[in-house]
Amino acid sequence: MAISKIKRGSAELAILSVLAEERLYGYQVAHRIAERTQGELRFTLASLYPMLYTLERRGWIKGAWENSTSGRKRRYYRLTAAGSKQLAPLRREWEGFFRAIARLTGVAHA
Amino acid sequence: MRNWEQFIHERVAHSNRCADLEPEVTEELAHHFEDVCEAGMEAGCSEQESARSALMEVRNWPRLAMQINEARGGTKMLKQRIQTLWLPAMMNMTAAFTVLLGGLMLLNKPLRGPVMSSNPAPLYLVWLLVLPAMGATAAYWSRRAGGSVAVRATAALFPAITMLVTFFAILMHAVFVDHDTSSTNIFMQVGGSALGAVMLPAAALLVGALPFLRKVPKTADPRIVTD
Repeated sequence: MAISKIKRGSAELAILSVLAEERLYGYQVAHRIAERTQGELRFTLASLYPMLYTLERRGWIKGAWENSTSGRKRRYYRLTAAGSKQLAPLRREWEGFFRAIARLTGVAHA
Repeated sequence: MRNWEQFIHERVAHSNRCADLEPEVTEELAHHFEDVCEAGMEAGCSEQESARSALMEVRNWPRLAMQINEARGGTKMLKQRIQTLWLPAMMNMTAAFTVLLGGLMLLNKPLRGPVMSSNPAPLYLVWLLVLPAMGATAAYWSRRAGGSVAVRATAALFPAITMLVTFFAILMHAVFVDHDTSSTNIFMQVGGSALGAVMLPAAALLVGALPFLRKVPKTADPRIVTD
């Protein structure tokens, strides 16, 4: 239960982090996160898109229809300036949290 | 290849508990399904298996639609609420009270037709007979705009709900402001009036609305078929 809550809470950070590197469309965001976390964090369509639209409404990311490399239309998301500003404090917050958990439990910080 | 846009539209529209998604959103979700299917097939799964795993991505369509509509912005939700509830409800109330008050004004005019008399009972009966049409219109309007069953029922019953609130306010005023608790008269009076002005109109409105309160049966077959 706690793990799923932590996963949910860190979802924003995960999305913003991958979008900080490059523009991606929804499926790519989910795929990239699963790949980077070796499957520890997995987004389904149902969990991803409400989050993407929420971040977009906040102005942290911006979506736009573009043609993908295969020539198909996809809605690409990119991090906005406001999103970039949010990312640094979010990262610090989560680093602090995981350090605290590591100290508490003795689990080595990855 | 399955028509995912059509599939999503059917799952959301026929769930009957939420408004449809914006076309842009439907298209984006459809592309996501396509990508999941393609990835599955590239990994060696059959088209059916891939489509099945894509469908596992969403377990509760009404919930997803609601979350997405909320995430897309409050103005859309407000607009949707106005279209599904407030417009039909206000139209219904205005029509119901216009007919009633118009009839009462006619009764009070010195020149009355042969049918009309100073006795309000015929007018009341005519009003009750007209109310099902108003309830039906409100429920139909709400359903067309994508209102849920509960919203449709509220829109249809709105005149009766308004009267109920009014009677409750009168009762509270009588008891707590006028301190008219000397007898059960006030309760009898309000109770009797509530029956005529709330219960029976509510029943009449509901009779008209009933055909539009049924859930639309789900036509989308959850089985995977390749179109």
